[in-house]
Amino acid sequence: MGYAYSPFNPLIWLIFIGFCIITYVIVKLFHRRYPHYPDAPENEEKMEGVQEAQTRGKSSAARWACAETGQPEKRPHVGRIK
Amino acid sequence: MPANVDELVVRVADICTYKWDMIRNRPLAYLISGFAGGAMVVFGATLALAVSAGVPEKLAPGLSNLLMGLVFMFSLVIIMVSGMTLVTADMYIGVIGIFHRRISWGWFVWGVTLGYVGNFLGSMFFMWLISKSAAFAYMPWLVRAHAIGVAKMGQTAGQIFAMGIVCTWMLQTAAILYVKAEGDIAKIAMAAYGPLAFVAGMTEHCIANIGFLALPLFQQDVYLDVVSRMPEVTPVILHWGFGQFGWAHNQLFTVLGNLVGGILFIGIVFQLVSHPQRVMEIYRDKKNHMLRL
Repeated sequence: MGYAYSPFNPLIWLIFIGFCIITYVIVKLFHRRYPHYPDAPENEEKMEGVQEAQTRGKSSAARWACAETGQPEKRPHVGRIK
Repeated sequence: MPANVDELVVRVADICTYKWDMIRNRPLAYLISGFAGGAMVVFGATLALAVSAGVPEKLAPGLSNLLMGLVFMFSLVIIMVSGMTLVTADMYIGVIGIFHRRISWGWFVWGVTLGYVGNFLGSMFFMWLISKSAAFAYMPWLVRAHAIGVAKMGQTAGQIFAMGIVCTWMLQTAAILYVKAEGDIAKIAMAAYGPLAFVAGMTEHCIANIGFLALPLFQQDVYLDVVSRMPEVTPVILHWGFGQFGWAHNQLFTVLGNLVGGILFIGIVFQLVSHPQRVMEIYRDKKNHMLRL
């Protein structure tokens, strides 16, 4: 009851930190299980970039679209904001 | 035909790319869209206060909640249709974007923070403007605004946190179904459900509470002056800080609860329900990776 109105309520912060850890672990496990997600491996040579973003010039998606012919092995995942 | 859950998560990831592209390249524009979104949320709060004041509890205990929800429900509709920013929606959008490798954790945190700041400014400014109008500084709105403040800020941390989780669970269910739905009527119906549910359900939404709980604080001097002439009323003093009846106390635990509800129960649940192989099939023929709301 002593922490009911305290900003340092230990139970709430414990639950919140646990939530952060669980979320991070779920994403990590998901990416470990599906290492190419969401790109199918055979998709690597087919992607043509972000059509809409290509008109925007400055966006990272457009930069990726322009760079893909030069460095295909380092291409980030589709539509990624870097 | 509404999208299936596999198409849905891809659409959400495309929205994520659009939003975070704006955060990356036009952060001021994103901040302004957050300002507009925050103000739109408290349009609903203002209307809710306007219709719920003076409703006798003897008539039906939940009637004022229903009235509040009915007028509040178009807040999310106008935000979604106009494409403005609501940080609680960005929480589930961002986490699905992380699953789809559209953004990193760092960009997620930065986007949510920027969205919150924009929403805060919009929500607070709008309610400050309302307080300057003095339209709600009369009975019964004055007392009703204060009573809402006392009820929300008087709760314990655990109560606020729990109702914060429930709020975004309800609200983001509606928001993600807005993306899933096809056609204007279906989208409006989906978006309207969220605020109706979270307001009528007496839950805690961080952006709505910023303005909703600021109004009785802006008007507290007038309130104390009025109740000083009512010997039967013992006024509760509200304040901006932490502790019981504090604005920051409510805001802190509402934000924490909203994060858990939106990310864990909407973003992660929908992502894990989607079929990874079928999602990858969708990506195979996909050329455009941005989607505006």
